[in-house]
Amino acid sequence: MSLISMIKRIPMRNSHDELISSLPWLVNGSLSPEKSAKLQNHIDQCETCQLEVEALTKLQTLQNRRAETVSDAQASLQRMRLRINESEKNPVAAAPLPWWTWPLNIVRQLTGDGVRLPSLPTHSATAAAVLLLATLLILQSDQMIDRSTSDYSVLSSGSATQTGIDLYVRFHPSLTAQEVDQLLADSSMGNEILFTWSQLDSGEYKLSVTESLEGSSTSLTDLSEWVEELKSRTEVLDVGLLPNQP
Amino acid sequence: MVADTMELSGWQSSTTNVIDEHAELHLISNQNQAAFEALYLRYHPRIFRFVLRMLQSPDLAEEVTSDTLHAVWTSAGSFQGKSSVSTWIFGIAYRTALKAIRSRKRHTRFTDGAGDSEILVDTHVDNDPAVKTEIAAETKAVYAAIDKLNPAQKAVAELIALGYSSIEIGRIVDCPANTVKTRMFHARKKLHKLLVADTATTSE
Repeated sequence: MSLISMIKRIPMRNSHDELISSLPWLVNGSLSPEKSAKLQNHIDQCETCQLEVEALTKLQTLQNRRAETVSDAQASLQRMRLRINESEKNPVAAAPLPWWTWPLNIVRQLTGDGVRLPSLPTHSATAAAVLLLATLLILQSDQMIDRSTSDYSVLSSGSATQTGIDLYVRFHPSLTAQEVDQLLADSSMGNEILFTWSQLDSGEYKLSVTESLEGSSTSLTDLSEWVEELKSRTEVLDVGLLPNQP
Repeated sequence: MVADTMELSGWQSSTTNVIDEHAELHLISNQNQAAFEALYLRYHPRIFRFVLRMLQSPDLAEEVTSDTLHAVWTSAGSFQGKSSVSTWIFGIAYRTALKAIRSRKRHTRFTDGAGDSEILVDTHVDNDPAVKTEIAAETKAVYAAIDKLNPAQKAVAELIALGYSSIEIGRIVDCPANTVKTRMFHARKKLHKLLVADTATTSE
């Protein structure tokens, strides 16, 4: 039976999704003997999983047999030897010092190493930094977007599902509104997450998830996958969850 | 030192030597060029293949492979032994490839994801021309569908075919093993959709 015919016969949704998600590793031989034996017991009695294993075996064989451009490792090594020799002859200059060290260095250069510079006690400097940070946070909280949650890591925090998700996305300013519309329209159609969007400001958009594979709720992992795909297609400067509206 | 060994599987090399890669990396961190070259020749084909699938451009894949292995040469001393050497190197390759994708997108916005590598099909499996044609058509459809997965899904699918466990893949792509499983599960759904849709369109 061909791989595509096999795939057609495999139901997309069934009661053993959890088991099915481990099958690729059974096929590639990286599961422990205990886990393999446990899975094998189930597979022996389950026609769907047998078909899935057969399809995965065929898929992995095809992936490993793919005949494509092969790079010449010896020629590449030759180029690497030259690169290493070159970098040893002309070592890369050290990275510039961070900007906050400049004033101190200028004073040091002016006064010479022999002069002892007055320094603030560490705890006073820490207290000043905390105060400054708190002030900045208070000023930020006035903005419409909750920056405390506007963090991409929030999206990749597991397989939890959520309803009524609104995303904030800021694209590179060089993108025109039409380009962004086109990009979002393509993404919406080609993916398993459907959403509507509205422009908040130049380059800034609010995306409201309307439907996903899970129905009205959306898996945060799915969403993070979608964002990852969007990021790979264009330059996204900022992305995050918007606070839920009452 | 913990001995980290790797047995080379058939498609990578005809030898079945077991190599102490931790010791080898220690030599590389001391600028031992012979150790680096041995590792280079062993890893180059695997990394090239992995990043080529992600990038779909042989030139860019060669550049990323070279940058990855150069990073191994310059930062072998920073390897902390928390994972296998292979996982560490593939992690560098994955991050370098993602960086290349982002930088390419920045320069060529809105090109579709078809890539520029030609899909070549190995049809040495059967001598019957009719069967050969059928296998070639199906294989081509499968490869085209794999190429349409997003880079993260492609990376996971490729690492599975290379024989990595979900935990190792999680270390390479820097996410929990469960996310790796979810990513593969979605890749499977997408492949299903693409292949079924593709054959439906062809048969119309």
